[in-house]
Amino acid sequence: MLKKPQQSCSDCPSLSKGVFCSLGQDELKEVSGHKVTNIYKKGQTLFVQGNHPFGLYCISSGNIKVTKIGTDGKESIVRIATAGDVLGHRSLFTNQYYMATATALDDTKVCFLDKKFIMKVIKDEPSVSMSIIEKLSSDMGAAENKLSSLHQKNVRERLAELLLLLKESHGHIEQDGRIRLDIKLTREEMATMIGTANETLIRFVSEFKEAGLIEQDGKTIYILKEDELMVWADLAY
Amino acid sequence: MSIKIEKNNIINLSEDIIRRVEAIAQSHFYTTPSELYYEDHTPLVAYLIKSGRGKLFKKRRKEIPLGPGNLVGLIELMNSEPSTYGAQIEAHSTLLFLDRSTILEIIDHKIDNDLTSLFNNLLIHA
Repeated sequence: MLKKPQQSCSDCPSLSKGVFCSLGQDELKEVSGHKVTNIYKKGQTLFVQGNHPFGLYCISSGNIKVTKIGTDGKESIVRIATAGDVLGHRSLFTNQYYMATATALDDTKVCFLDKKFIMKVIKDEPSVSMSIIEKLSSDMGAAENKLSSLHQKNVRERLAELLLLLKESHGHIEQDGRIRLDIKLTREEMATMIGTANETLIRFVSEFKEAGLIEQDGKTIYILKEDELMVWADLAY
Repeated sequence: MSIKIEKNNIINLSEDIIRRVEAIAQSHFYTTPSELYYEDHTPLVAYLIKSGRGKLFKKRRKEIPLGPGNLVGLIELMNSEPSTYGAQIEAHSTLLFLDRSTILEIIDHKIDNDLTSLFNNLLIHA
């Protein structure tokens, strides 16, 4: 059987942030030979809530929104996954169907490994197991933070916190000191991320702009005063 | 056991083969219409339609119907090549999935000898 060559995992720009970062060249070669790589265009789905899980998705570049549809049919964004993140790892261990839908926010390069293969790697390579445990723990921490924010914080604080989280994952410091968020989210998407109505979000974004905390150029958001944003977010850490 | 690969890489399997695949593959009943894979993508697994209907499509215009016994995505998956067609499945369809690891196990004589010769033939002549 002839198999066409794939881009090697050792050349992946996100290798250092991914779950295979500690593997040697031979093991990476084996992973490279088994993976399926695709580029998802904006709006294309990797998997859909309620469908059968196939394996692990590693994001090489781009952004994926993970959403859940409520009983009212409304979509809410659970999290944004970006380069170096993995998706589908929870389903590897639970045998449950996907509990969320993953959709590309922009052109996103994703590598896929089937469940049998990745479970073998997990058994053979402790560093991969540890990386996946770290990802699961970090996801759990983020989910706990989000839950407490929704219960304990007001919309203004939640918006400030979201901007700071996006700064951590997608922030790029410009020469003039502003921090550009390298992710383009619609107002609706941002509103669902902090559990508020679109109109309310628009009102608070205007307030943040008037206070000189942020500015916008089209859909691109710049953070101008990170320290003040932390005060507005009422961060206890 | 010889099986012809149709144009567009659709493979028609007999009921006997479907039963053999069913013994080793996982299945899923789709309650809503779903995208199996997009045009220009390499399928993540190969899909065998056990019941229900689906279609291959190109640029959302040219459509090829799929039905029970059709196996799609196998050639593209094992050759790591993009599919020239996208694939969708209708609601109330049941599909069997063959991932790359399972297909390699079949080829390596680890599961079912008849399936081994069938899959080797399919992939050699693809």
